[in-house]
Parts: sequence; C-alpha cells; structure tokens
Amino acid sequence: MDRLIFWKKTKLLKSYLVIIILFSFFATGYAATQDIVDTYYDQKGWKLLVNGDDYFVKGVVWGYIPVGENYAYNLWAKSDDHIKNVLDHECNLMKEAGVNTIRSFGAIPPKWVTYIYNEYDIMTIMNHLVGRYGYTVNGAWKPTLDYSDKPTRQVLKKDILNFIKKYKNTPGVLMFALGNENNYSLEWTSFEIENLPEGERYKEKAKYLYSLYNEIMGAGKKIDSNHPFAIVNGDIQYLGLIAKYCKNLDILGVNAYRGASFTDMWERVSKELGLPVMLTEFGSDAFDVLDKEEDQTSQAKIVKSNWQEIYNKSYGNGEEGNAIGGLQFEWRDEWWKFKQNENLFIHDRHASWSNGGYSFDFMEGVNNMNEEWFGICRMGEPNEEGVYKAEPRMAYYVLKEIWRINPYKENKSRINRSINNIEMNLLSLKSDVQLIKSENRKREHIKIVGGSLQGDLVLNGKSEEVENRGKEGLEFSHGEMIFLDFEFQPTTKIEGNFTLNLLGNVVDKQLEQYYGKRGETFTTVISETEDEMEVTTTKEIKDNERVEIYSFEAIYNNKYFDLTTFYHVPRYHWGYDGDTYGLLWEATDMEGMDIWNAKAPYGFEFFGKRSLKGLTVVAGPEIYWGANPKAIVKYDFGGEKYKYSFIHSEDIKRAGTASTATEATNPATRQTALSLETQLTSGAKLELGYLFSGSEKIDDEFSYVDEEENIYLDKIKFEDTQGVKAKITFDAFKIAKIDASVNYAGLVADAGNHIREFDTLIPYSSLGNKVAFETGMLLPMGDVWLLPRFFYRKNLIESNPIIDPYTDGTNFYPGLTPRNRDADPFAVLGNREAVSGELFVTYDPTPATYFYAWDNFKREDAPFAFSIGGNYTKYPTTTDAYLFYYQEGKTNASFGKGLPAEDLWLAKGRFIMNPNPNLMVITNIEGGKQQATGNPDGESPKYLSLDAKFVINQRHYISGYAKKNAWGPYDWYRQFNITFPYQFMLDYSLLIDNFLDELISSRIGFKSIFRTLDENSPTNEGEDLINDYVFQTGLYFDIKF
Amino acid sequence: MRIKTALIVICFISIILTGCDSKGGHILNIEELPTDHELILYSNNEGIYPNTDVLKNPNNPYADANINMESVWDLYDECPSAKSKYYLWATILAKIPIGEYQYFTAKSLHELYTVGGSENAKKQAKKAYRAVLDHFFNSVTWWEADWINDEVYYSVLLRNMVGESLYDPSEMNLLPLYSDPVLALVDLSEWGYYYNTENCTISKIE
Repeated sequence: MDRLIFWKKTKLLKSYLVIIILFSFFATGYAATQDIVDTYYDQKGWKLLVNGDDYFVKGVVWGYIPVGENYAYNLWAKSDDHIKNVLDHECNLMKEAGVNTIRSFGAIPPKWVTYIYNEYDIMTIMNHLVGRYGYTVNGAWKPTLDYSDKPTRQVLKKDILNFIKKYKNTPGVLMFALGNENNYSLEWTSFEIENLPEGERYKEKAKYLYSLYNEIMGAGKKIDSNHPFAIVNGDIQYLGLIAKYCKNLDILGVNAYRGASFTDMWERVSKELGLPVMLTEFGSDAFDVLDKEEDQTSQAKIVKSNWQEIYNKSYGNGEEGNAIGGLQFEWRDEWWKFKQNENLFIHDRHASWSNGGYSFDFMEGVNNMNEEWFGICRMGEPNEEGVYKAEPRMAYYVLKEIWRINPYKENKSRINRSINNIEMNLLSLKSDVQLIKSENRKREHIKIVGGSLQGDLVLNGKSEEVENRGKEGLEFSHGEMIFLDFEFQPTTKIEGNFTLNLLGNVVDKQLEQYYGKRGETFTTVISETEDEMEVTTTKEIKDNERVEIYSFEAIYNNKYFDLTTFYHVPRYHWGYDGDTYGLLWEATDMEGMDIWNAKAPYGFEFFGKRSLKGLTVVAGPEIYWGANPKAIVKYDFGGEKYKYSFIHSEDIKRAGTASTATEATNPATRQTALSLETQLTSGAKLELGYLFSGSEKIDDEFSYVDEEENIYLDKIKFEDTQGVKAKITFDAFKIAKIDASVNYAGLVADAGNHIREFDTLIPYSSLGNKVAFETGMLLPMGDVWLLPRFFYRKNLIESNPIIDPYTDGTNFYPGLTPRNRDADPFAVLGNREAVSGELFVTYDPTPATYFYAWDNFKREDAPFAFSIGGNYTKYPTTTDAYLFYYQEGKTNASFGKGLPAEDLWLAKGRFIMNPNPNLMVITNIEGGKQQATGNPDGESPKYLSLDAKFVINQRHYISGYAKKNAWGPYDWYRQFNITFPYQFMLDYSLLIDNFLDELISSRIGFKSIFRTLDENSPTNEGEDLINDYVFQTGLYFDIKF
Repeated sequence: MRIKTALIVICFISIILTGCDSKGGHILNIEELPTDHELILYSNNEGIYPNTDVLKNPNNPYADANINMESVWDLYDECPSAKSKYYLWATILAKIPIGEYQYFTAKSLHELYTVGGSENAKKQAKKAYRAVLDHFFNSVTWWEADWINDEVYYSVLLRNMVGESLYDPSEMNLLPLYSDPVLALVDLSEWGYYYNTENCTISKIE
C-alpha cells in the first residue's frame, strides 16, 4: 500500500501541474496541441485523466484490411485521399457509437492520429509490438526474439524510444503501450535456460521480457512525461513478475478471452500489482460453429456482459475500482486471419482454437473460435470511394447503448439498471433485419453468390495473308462465357460451393492457350475392334461440353474428422507439415491448368481430429496436376521436440491421358517416407528423411555402358529403392542463417516436388539416382540480403550414350539408346550431374511485405525494392531421352536423344517501385543461355526478356513484355525448343468497380501480341518462316457480379 | 538420446553405402539372330499398328536396340532370316509408326509363311497388310530408278503393293495367302477396299 500512497501523492501533484500548465497555455492564447494524460488513484479506485478530465476508455481495436489483402496491407502507403475516405467512413461510425479510443497493430502516422482526434475526438493508443511477430536485429530478420540477447534489447530499446520521440507531441495520443501478448512467445533457446523444467524455463525468459519493458518505459518517461505507459499482456500471466520487474508501469493492459466474465482478474491485479487495468483486447466471435451460421446475438450478449463488468469494476463502485475501460476486439471482421495467406477473398468459417468460456458454441474437442468473425462490424461491399463498408452487428448497437453511460457520473445501481434495460431482443431483431437486408437474401440451401461474364473480340493475322490479301487476310472471331458461382449448405454439417461455366461462341486466339477451347469444333478418331483388329474412323464433334462444372468443393464436418471433396480448387503442398520429400505436389496454378482444360486437383481429403488428430488422407483421380489416381496417407506424431511424419503414397493405376505435351504420363508407383524435425540445443534445426520408393520396379531390367563401351544388363534391387536426406539450418554469427543438406536417392527412389525458396534457380529434381549436396546462406545486411547458394549432384549411374547397332549376319550387336522413363525403370533427366552456384542480392526496406511472397506483386509497399543476381550451372554429362505426350495418339513418345553436356547461365532481376501512392511499377529482366527441357535438336538459345507492369491509381493496369530469341510463353515451347526472334505483348485494362483489386475487380481492356518468326519457330504460325510475323489483337471484358 | 541419434546416423550411412555401388549385372553385347520359322507372338496384335508389344517380346533381339531410320536399312540387308526381318520391321514400326514399316512388317511375315509355312505368320500377315490400308492408306515407299545412273528414287503407293501381295504375290516370289485370289478380293471388300485387278490399284469403297 505504501506504493499506492506514493502513487496517489505523485498523481495529485501531477494533476495540479497539469492544471497549471493548461492554464498557462490558455492564458497565452496558445491552443493546446498536446494532451496531458495521467492516471489518478484514491480510495475509490483508479481513473485515467486527460488534461485533468476523467476519461473512461470506450475503445475498439481498429484496423482496416480490405478483402483480398492480409497483414501486409499498409493503408498508410495509399494516397491521402483514400486514407481520408477510409478514416471518415470508419470514424463516423465509431463516433456514432461513442468510441473514444482506438488501438491499432500498425502504427498510425502522426498526422492521421491528429486527424482522427481533431475530426472525431477519438484518441489513439500508440502500441509498439516489441518484436512480437519478429524483428530485424542488426540487419537480420528474427522471427522469434531472444529478449535476453543484449543486441536485441539494445535495438528494440533504441527503436521504441525513437517511436516515443516521434509521437510524444502528437495531439491525439492517449498513451504508449508495449507488446501484444509477448509473454506467449517466449520460444527462444539458450543453453542455460533449456536445462530448466519447461514452466521455470518460460518464467526465466519472462523476466527478460518484463525487465526490457521496464527499461524502455523508464527511458521513455524521460522523453515523454505527459503520457502513461502500458504493456499489453496475455491475460494476467506472470503477474508477480510484472509487479517485480515493471516498476515503471502505469497501466496494465490485458488481452483476455475468458468468455462472459473476467472472473478473478480484477481482484488479482488489485492485490498483486496495484495498478489500473485496461482491457486491451477482449470479445467474442460472431459465428456459431455448431450451427454453422453467423450468431450476432451470442456475441452481443458476451460483449454486454463484459462491459457491464468493466463498468462495475471501475472507479467509485465499491468493488476493486481498477478498471479504466477497454478496447473491444475488434472493430470489423478480417478475412485474412485464418491461414493468413490463403483464401483471402473468402470469409472463412474455420475455427482455429478452442475456448470453453464461449459456451454458445463450445463442444469438447471442437474448435469454436472463428478468427475472421470477431468484428462488431462485418465486412461489407466497397462504397463509391472504394472503401469497404463496415456493417454494424448487434454488438455495435449494444455498445452504443452502453457507452452512452458515463461511469463516473452514474452510480453503480443506475449503471446496472441502464445496461440491464438494453432491449436486447429489439436490437437483435434490428440487426437481423439489417443482415438480411444487406445480404438481400434469406438462408437457403443453395444459392447463387456471384459470377462473371467474360468476352473477347480478337483479330488474328499472319504476314503473308495480310500482305497478299490486305484486310481480307485478317481473321476475326469473338467469344463469350459465363461463370456462375453457387454456395450450398444442405445441413449444418455440410457446406460447399461450385462454379458452372457456360460457353457461348469460342474465340479463336491463335497465339494463346486459353480456357474454353473444349467447345471448339474438332475431329476425333474413333477406334473400334473388328475381326480382332483395331479399326479407326474420324468424326467431327460440335458444341462439345457447352456447360461444365468448373470447380466444386464440399466439406463435411464431424466431431472426429473433416471430409473435403475437391474438384479443380487450389490445394497446397505439405512441405512445411512433415512432407520432407514433397510427395504431395502443390496445385494452385489454376490458370495454367485451365488453358489445357485440366481438371486437377480432383479427390477428397480426410482430416482427423481429437483421437484421430495427426491423420490425414488425400485420395482421388488426380490430386495434383499430372498425378496418377492415388492415395496419400500422412500421420504426424511426436511432440514439440521431435516431430515425426509418416507418409505413404500409393498410385492406384496409371493416368489414362495427359492434358499437355509437357506432361507425359508416368507409370504407377508407390513411395513411403518418414521424416523427423527437431531443434538441437544449439538452436539449429535438423531435418531427417528416409524414403522407400518405386518398389514395384524391383527386378526390372536396365542397361548401362562402361568406359570400354561394354553394355551391361542389370536389374533393379531393393537398395535402389532407398533414399535418405538430412538438412541442418542454423544461425551463424547472430546474423546469417546457413543451411546445408545431403540427399542420397537410389536409382528408382524418386521423390516429389522440392520447395523452392527465395526464387532460387538451383536445378533440383524429384528423380532418384543421385547423391546431392547443397549449402546456402541468408546474410542480411540492413535492408540488403545476400543469398549465395552452391549445389553439387552426381548420378549413381550415368545416362546411356547412343551406340549404333550392327550385325554380321548371324549375331546382332544391339547398340544402346538413351533410356526413357517409359521403357526403362529410370532415366537421367533433370537429376543429371550438375555443379551449380548462384548469388542473389535483395534490397527491401519494408520486410513486412515479404519480397518473396507469392503475392508480393500487389503487396510490396517499399518506394524501391529489388532482387538481382544470377546462376551458373555446369552440366558435364548428357541426359537420357525425355518423353512428351503425343495427344493425337494419346501416348507418351520419346525424343530419342538426350540433352547435351553444356554450361548454362541465367541472370535476372525484379524491381518494384512505388514512387508515389498512385503508381506502382514492377519490372522483370532476365537473360541467359538455357537448355530446352526435352527436344535435344537445335542450339540452346541465348535470350533476353523484359516485362513490366504499371498500376496507376489502383485502377489502370498496363503490362507488357519484349523478348529476344526466347521461347514462347508456354512450357511446351521450351520443351520442343521453339523460339521466336522477337516477341512483344501489350495489355491494358481498366478496373471498373470499386474493389480496386486486379484479382476480383471487373475490367475491360485490350491486348496485343506480336511475334516474328524464323526457322526455330513453330511451323503452324508462319509460311515462309524467315522474316515472317504473326499477330493477335483484341478487346476483352470481364464483368463480375 | 545419444543411442537413438547414433542409430539414425548408422542407418543413414548404411543406406548410402549399400546403394552407392549401383553397378552390377552382366555384359550384354551380342544377341543371336533367329533363323527358325516358328512365330511366337507376345500378343495377338503384335506387329500391327498401334500395338507395340513386340518391344516386350523376349524373343525379339532388336527390342532394346538402337534402331532408327538410318540404321534399319543396313540391318535389314544383313538379316539372316525372314523371322529376324519381321522382328526388325515390327520393332521400328513400334518406335516410328509409318506406313512403310507396317508394309515391310507385313511382307516379312508373308515371307516367313512362304519359307516356313507358319500359319501364325500367315494370319498375322493378313492383319498387317490390312493395317497398311486402314492406317496408312496414302503412304508410299521409294524405289530406285535403276535405269538411271544417278541415285534417283520414285514413290510407289504401298496400298497397291498390299493389293498385289494379297491378290497375286507370285511376282514377289511369295506364296499366296489365300487358296483362291478371289478370297483376297472378298476380304478386301469386307475391309472396305476395292482392288482393281486390271490396273493393280486399290481404292476405298464409298
């Protein structure tokens, strides 16, 4: 209590000072631009004072992240007009509800803090996250911080003190807050601490966290004595440590998700800490996982209960009196929160954690907290200014009623009477009516939720035709198609969606592959057996498949498992979930599949829960593009220290057909893998993998040749099916991250897809028959990253050369041909011997928008960021023969010869510029000498390629490319080594709605492609080939509804 | 924990060591060419496009050989028997399906029947000739214009040669495949073709 009396005296003194200072300002005619905020304590409890007046925090956790964006979205990088439009929309609604405080995860720039304050009387809690989600320390990005590390503490302290200096005189700042549940992320390792039991270990780590907070607050108060300091703690964990180590703390901020009541929190803080409490986060989601529907009433009831308790626990009500208000989590729904980089356009209904405090949808063993549904407002459509509207839920209206009450002017009984008298039923009805009105529909078992109308008007031309026949030589065509999106929910446990595609006329774009060609008139060969012989005839097919199901997904939720059926919807690999060998390939390139009318991925997934947790099964006709009909079973087990994954993949049969020439079908096979991931005491991460693959090939024959050209015939043995790999990743010198790996795979021990990080050009291969070594480094130097990498691979058995056969009339000397994967159990292809090295330099001053993220092209907000570098690869040996898929014959065919030994190089750069909020420029430059991926005929081209995209005012998209001596735009051009002397493309599109997102907006535009031809170009695109050209130009539209 | 780690490391090293020496087997430089007249087929349609089972036939000495459009003629010249010719042509037909190879496959089967009386070869020869008509109706082969000194070649339609082989192969020193030439015409008619015995040409029956 001595401490409290001291505080009381100090506060009173400060209050007098405040009054004197304020008086001075007014007396001199100077309008106060900086507020003086302080805490106040007497026997009745704690209060917050702003410029001497009582201030009860009626707040929300606020952020504005539009649909399609995620945590990397930066509103403050947009134009001032747009920011103002957003703030005006948001703050008007907030002010109407009575919000007086906001807390935001991203730092709101000072001028906008002041704008919000001046225009709407809403103050801002400036919250530095103290590296909660990673931080750059001395140039190195640390995903998890070691708060005991001196350089880390120094950097954080320095940056946060600068942060305080920056905001201390900003009108509208209510206080400074540090962290965001950092006590939940004390995961770093060190020799001393790891020897302690787990509970003690985290406690020891927490001491470093709180002592750092205290250091910063102490220094911060010397910089700014006019604002109090809070920490944002995860519930009231380590309360004793906070009391002991955070002597400079003014206000305890607590993020508490305890359901309808905060139970003993107030009492414990009062007794163990003796400071005011501000709830920095609390709330409820508005989705009922049991009924699978929005439940704004349950949310509102919990919100009401929480605030009633906060009011009761505030100053002067005869209870603890330590509540000074709270910040409701959160203002509006955020559609990015589940999975964070996926399904950004979908309001995901998956619950990601479980909490028994929320009884309205709690069931033992079932997650019930829906991260994307915590808003007291839901996400609406964009308004005319392109601002996503906030649509109030019932909780908003309940809060509006509650916040009318001033806890310092009303007594406890009046407060409770007012809150208890809130017409919940009326507000519920009002909110439900608004929900129905906003969606303009009632709950239906099946409904249309959107779609698009697409069309093209295209002119095709070839030089000879145009020059000889003028306009008559041009070919005009048009095409239209409609997509209709449906959702269905026949029962509470089953939900799904599907999209229908309806074709009108099919456009003829002679220089492009595109979706919808299935409707073209074509001639097919029909085979029949007659007199034991196959007889073929031809038939013309018109109006083929005018209507088709484009995609389909349905999910059945059960207590023990989720069952998902999928058909042509994006699916991700398991590379970060124990699939060390990449047996499940990613299937997210929907556009790439569409142009070949491929329907992958197609199958179902079983995802175990509760007693079946860890078990996942995926099976189906084509679970990723090019897959044979197969089933994959994965079982994850072990603990935090040792994570094991067992995976078995079994092809049921060989795929009947392939959709493209680049996708030769593969014989049915099977693979079994076991992986282990562990963290060593040194902090290094160790990954080990074992593979047993291709056992069906045991005893298959293969041939090879020795140095004297003796041809040997051998058989596949058990050991040829075995593979092992190991990878270690560790930090060096506290800055660099180094990885080193070795990968041995027997002759037929084929694995799956290798995950490519940092856009590396290292020639990885899924095939066996190799011993490979790799090492690489990520060396951050401030905003610059250096990424050197070295790779060496040697084959266990080399490719077969061509040895001509001959005969002496009695005996036959068969010679030798390069192997191929149809006729032989293995072949040396992409897994050929290689020595490869590369260096890339990346400059990115805004690491929050990760430069190598797949969607960085729309998220990068740095004024200038780039990656530049190159790769040199030496292939000292030839390959065996590649296969291609001969579509007319519906069979694989071999190129007959292998690719030659050659040294290849590639240099490339990606540059992103945001010179002002209204302009974004993305440029890619690439040049090098590369080999074809199949056809060994012709030279490996030396090519140059430049492409660029300009985004103006988020509405105008101009993109184009220019290429010299490069392959055409699709994989098969490279496979067949087809190049063009020059290629040009120009595309302009205008977004015509307010979504302002190139992925979901309606658009109109035009596109032109021009190519010159020579002897290396495809024969169907020109007649004379030399000095010839072809072009295609047209208008297009894509109207979303 | 150390024992566990050691076991894992030992397993890794063992697998690498056992697998690294992947070379073994026996030398296979010579195949004896068949000179007998017995035709054992791997499947009913072996040697008939689009069937490629001849590549799987263990009796086929050319199955794994590097036969291509250049080497096939040299190998043909050295073939010691009709049976080895059949395997040669059927093999390259399976690898490079063109009419010329289908015709010579048929002709070598016909020859095998002629020299050895294999009924199997006779039946298969008819199927092979029909496959030329069904799948390669417009294909040609090239004959040397030996009345000209320079190497000059002219094209000959394979379908007409098929007609001659079926109707009257005596000019080719081959035994007839039908007891009566009229039966050949009947078969051709059933297959949808008409053989004009006057000008020795085949056409499709519309």
